[in-house]
Amino acid sequence: MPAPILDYLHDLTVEKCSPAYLFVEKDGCLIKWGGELSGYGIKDLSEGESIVNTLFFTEGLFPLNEKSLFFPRVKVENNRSTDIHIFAADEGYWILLLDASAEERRWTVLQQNMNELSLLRSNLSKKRQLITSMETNEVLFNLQEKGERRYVTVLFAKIHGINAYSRQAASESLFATLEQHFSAMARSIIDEGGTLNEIAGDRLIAVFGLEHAIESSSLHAVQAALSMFDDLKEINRLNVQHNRPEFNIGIGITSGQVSLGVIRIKKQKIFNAVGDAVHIAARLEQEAGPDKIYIDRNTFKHIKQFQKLFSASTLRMPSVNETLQVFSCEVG
Amino acid sequence: MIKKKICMLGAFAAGKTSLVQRYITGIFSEKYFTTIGVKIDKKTVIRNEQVVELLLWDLYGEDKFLNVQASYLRGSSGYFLVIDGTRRETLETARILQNRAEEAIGKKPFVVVINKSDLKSEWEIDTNALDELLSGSIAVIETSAKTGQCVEEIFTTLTNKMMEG
Repeated sequence: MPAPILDYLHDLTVEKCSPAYLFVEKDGCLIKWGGELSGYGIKDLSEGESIVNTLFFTEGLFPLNEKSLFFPRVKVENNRSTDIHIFAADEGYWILLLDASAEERRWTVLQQNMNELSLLRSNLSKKRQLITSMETNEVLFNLQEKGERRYVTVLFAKIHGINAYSRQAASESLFATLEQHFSAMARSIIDEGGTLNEIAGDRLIAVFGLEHAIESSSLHAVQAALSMFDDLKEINRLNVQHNRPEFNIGIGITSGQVSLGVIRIKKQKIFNAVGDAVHIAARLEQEAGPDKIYIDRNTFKHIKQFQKLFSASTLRMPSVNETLQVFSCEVG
Repeated sequence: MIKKKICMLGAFAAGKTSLVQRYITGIFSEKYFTTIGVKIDKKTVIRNEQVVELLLWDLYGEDKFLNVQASYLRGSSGYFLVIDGTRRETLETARILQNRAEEAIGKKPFVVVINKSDLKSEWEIDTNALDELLSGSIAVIETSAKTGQCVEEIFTTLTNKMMEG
């Protein structure tokens, strides 16, 4: 490398992070030190003193069990964010301090926004769940007293493998698993403006288009389905880490006119959707199997940006005496 | 002087920093500021006529994109698992963190802290769901960093246990 480049790299990587170092024996006694220690609030050092007296946060670290330890973005009394690297040498350990203030500022903006958004989403979803469980569905969706027909998108999703798991798992583990999966799936539905209509066994039914413009309900439903698969990957990754079983989901989605209304049973009011779109969505979910999304033609028409993910086929539907064109997407 | 390192573990916005600040300075701030990396504070207490310096490692909150790094836990004598009573998902995070802490530092005393008791009407945590965590913890204590309820108690409980070991 030419010298100017090396100098530039040196400025970029070394000078800007104000390095300082300490070297301690295996038992933690200070041997030598250097660099910009005062910038980290470290002064009045004496050879042979315990490092714990100088850097109180090193309590319990020495001797190291590993070759190196890294503590990113540590803030102590002087409030300066510091990356701390500790690594072993033959006679002791090097402790390297690097300024991480710039890195911290970047992270603060990003992390603060992410966390606030997550909290906002959580609050929003709580409010919506509350509304839909308060027996006020007909007010929320502005449904007419005697029911009405509307164009909506219906989503059926099934968690595959739950039945087999229920035979051998303790009920506590089974319901914890169902809650973990259905909570994540419900979040995707709510994020996309859908309404969780029903959970029955290992299946979930959601309706899109009750509150927003009909032409976008197909798109929101497909986006919710794809988001469910993203969440499922993360859930499975965590479950594998903790020796818990992995599960797959399969999804069927249709769009069309259905009858919507509220059934009154004593004092309870239950939202209900009936029609071919509901029936066909259930059939598509059965056809989909694990790691697949099946959608009908009406839904496919309105998801231009996702159409390339789907391939066309046909499905015989004896109950409506038709052969339907369907579109499937393998997600796993 | 005896020194004991304690880690604050939990989901983001569960109230870890507020609990530490309430304990050390007696102040509570309504504004939420996320913790980046780790902020280390210390507090000296007297237990059984012995001076004990508590080193409080207030770690950033765990979320699905950012897992707490195991290196921070090295050398801990005990830890808190902080749950936000108003957010059920923070219980699952606490379970994950408890497993990770045990993998990193072995079995150490920990206290399960259910924070935000001042918002009890909005709680989503059912104490029956705590069984798994209860079995390993030395105590489950409801706190409010806002009102100060039981804040001193959680630190006293954990310190007493660490001093036995």
